[in-house]
Amino acid sequence: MRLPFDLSVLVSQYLDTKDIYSCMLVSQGWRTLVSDHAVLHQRLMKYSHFDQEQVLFRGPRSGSNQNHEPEEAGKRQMNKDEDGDLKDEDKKYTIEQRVTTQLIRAPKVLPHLMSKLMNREERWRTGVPRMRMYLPPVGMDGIDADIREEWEGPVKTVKLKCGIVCVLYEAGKTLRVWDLDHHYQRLRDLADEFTEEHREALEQSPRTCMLRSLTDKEAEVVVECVNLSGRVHAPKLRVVRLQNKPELFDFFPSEDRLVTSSAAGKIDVYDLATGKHLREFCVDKGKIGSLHIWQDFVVVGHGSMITLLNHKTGEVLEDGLHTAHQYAITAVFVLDNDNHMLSVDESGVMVITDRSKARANIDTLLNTPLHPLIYHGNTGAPYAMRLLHMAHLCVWGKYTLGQYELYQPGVSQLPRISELMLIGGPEEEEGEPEEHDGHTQDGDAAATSASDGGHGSAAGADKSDEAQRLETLNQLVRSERDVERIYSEVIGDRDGPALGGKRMRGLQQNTVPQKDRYHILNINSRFADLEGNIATLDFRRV
Amino acid sequence: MVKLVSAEGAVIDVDRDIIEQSALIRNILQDVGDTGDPIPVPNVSGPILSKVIEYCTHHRDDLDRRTRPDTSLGGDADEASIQRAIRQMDEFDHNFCKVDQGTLFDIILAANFLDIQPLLDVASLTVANMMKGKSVEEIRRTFNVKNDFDEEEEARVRSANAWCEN
Repeated sequence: MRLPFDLSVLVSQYLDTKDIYSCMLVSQGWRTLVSDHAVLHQRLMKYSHFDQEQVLFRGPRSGSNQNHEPEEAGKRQMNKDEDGDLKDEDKKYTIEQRVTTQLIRAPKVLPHLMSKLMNREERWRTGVPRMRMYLPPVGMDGIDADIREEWEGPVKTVKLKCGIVCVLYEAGKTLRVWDLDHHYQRLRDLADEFTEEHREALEQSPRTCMLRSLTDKEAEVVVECVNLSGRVHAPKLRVVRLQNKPELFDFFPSEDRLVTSSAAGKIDVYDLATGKHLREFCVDKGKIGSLHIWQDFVVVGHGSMITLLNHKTGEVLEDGLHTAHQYAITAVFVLDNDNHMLSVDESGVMVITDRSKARANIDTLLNTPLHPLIYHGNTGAPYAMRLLHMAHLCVWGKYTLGQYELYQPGVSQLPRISELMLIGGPEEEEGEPEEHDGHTQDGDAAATSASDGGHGSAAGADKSDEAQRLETLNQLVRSERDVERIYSEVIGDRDGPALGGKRMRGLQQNTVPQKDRYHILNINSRFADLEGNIATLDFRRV
Repeated sequence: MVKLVSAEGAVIDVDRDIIEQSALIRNILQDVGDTGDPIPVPNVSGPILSKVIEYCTHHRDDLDRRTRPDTSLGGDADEASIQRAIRQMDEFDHNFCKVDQGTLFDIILAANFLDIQPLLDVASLTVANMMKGKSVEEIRRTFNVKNDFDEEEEARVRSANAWCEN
């Protein structure tokens, strides 16, 4: 039976990706049908919405307008001049986005990307490292004596994001930055050529103009560039000289920003590409235990407090925000750019702090020992998925010690605690303490509505909000009572007295088949622990 | 009464409240009014149009079926929408879809053209279920498709999608 094209598009909406790939193998005709961008493109966007695949979402490194959420991409609020034209910056962004989409949609490229993503999912399941990389020895000629000395010493921290490896040495006031992403420029060149070829049309109507299809050769270039598996060719080494000896560092490749913190509480922001020192902040309350950069934000955990900075404007957005932590924070991340922050303290308690509510006691506590926590996937994910990724990584990080399991990607696969984490807690309303006992009566709500001055719709909305808050509160109450027990059963025993529990014993005698386990090497580990190798499951994912 | 003209030129009378389940026809009637002129439906054959009308007649009172959360054009139907469509399927729908594949495909295309979302859901789900969870060979058998890959090609495709073979 011949499957009409329209029908394949319509029916494919009801198939999962695995079914679609089965259809690809049916016949050449079916393969052509289901490989079409009308079928695969949106699906790819969905699959990779938390992804850092450069060809999909990574704009130019100097770019600042990335929008990694596919649904949002089309809705992006463009700045318009009074005459309705897009401002130059937005037009440039739109053109880049359009050209990138055109590269992805090529018939030879799209199925490849899709299988690449899917293969990656499987790779994660198998626990087979994607690659093992030996950074080439550094030629010592021309290297300053101080750098030579520190480079001969032990490595303190290694971080890897978007194909860039940053190595900090114990003795160092410099960072070694290996750029492994040599294919990226080829891809940019191709995109630039394509843009130039269609410059006029793109300038006129960047979203709707007709662009030619990619030639086979061009498609091959794209496929080759996105298919970096296991190959590192001549990584480029750069050295960033730092003003203060760093204790911690983090970087954000898309914006070419590097941030370091010193023992004295100084936080320095550098241009990762040029090494130029851009800005300095100082945190003087408590020892800095965590440093993280995300887009414009630098979030610092010091003591049990969090300070949030905008490295672009220099603004201190939160200065020593109190959290629910009772122990020093060891890791902290911005979750939705400005409001929610996820932090973990040295006792292993995870807290979501909602800035906008600015209270210390509203947070959902998740007693999950995470040491050390690595932030996984710092670009490209909408809020929920990023949180999910963190949950993955938390488990990954710990799994190397043989204590935890990892859940399948997908919110539905996580225990409900993740939902609690997303909620962030109820708002406290003064003068209505009875609302917080979880048993507000309808009469109370009606009285509240009446006292609102008879604004019916507002009262209705309030009531709805109230019900939602109440539900949240109930969840939190349940969480306090039950979640710890549930979570301990679901995830595994935690550090402490429960270590000898049944779950723990089960995990120690792990009978989970190899292919169902997840492993990742914790690249925040000391270099020595990795036996001199830097290994990771996926080069661009940590 | 609304008159519809099928692809072959056959005129079919149908109650307005029935055919207004089609967003296409509803919009036409709203835009030009009920002039009594036949409305051409050139993409739909008479027998298929009759089947569509049969479906709409059965569900003429199911107003809640007619609203469906918007899914982005060309995107996947979200899980909730799919679940909703499955939930709403009744015995009539199951029996309605027990037709040969050609008819079923034509019904999907007609539902798409006429913009009758519940029918599109029901029929597309039925076809999707013929593929879901099946091996490649089973799909070939179900749809009577000949494998025209040569060995080398098939190996290449399989190797590119190795995950699928697990």
